[in-house]
Amino acid sequence: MSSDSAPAAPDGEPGFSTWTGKARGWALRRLPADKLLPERQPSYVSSWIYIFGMAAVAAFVYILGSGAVLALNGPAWFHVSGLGRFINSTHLWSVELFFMFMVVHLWGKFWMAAWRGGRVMTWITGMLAFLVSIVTAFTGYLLQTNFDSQWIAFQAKDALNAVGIGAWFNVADLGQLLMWHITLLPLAVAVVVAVHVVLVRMHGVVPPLEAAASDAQLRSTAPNPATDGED
Amino acid sequence: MYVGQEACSVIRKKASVKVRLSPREAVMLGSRQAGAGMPDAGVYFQWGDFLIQFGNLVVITTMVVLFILALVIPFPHGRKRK
Repeated sequence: MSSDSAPAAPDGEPGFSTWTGKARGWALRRLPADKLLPERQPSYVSSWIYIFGMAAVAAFVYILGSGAVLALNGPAWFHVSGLGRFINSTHLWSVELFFMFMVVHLWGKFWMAAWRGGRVMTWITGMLAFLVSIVTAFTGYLLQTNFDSQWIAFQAKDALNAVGIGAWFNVADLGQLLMWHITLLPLAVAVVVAVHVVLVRMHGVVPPLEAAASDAQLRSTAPNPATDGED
Repeated sequence: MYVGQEACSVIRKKASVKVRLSPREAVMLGSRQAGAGMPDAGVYFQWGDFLIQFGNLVVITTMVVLFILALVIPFPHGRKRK
């Protein structure tokens, strides 16, 4: 690789000639390590309203873990055994918590206009995470394999058929829904949430509306080409 | 044509026909479920045109309370922050 002998760019940083080096330079300029895993946060983050995003992520981690246990053991286990029913219940309740934390997070960010300061994509990925989560939860309710899931499926099929996707997203096909629920949709939620969190780290936690633009804690000690000039 | 697509086409045609529902019929699907004698149909509250299932009311109320408390309750100060 040529990174060791790369000629220096005008700003003193090595100029990369390979696509891997250029990609690394691009990523590090936008998300240096101290921004990805910071030791300090601005004082305005010391508020309960700022914890709901990470609370939703914590609930999501439990959903993934309990979902993996359920998927590996199967319905014959989680419908019958005591431990299986318990894990099944905690899977449902962690989904309830996930959505409650996500909605409170959404309300908090909406009322502080969190799309300010070049954070539009952070806002959009957050909304996308919410929408994909709703579809994922919907397929989960269809997988209960009880009268309730039958009822939900046969109400939902009319709506899905009416918009023309019923042949590809067939709520009466349990095998297809199982695959959607345990592979594609959780992966989609995880990717969107990961992008959302990385964008939060790149642009920093949004300050309250009343924070003055000249507030010293809003200004980074090191220039950040990814965010500077977007306010 | 794939059988599922044919069935969907028929259902789409049916869905496009406008059906006038009486106020009695225009209730939430959940209360229809209750009428159909489904197990664990739930409890419903109604104020005029507003109808809500008890579980949904609990979840929405909890979220509103959480939101208000998060704004009002002071955050404990641990390590000194920048």
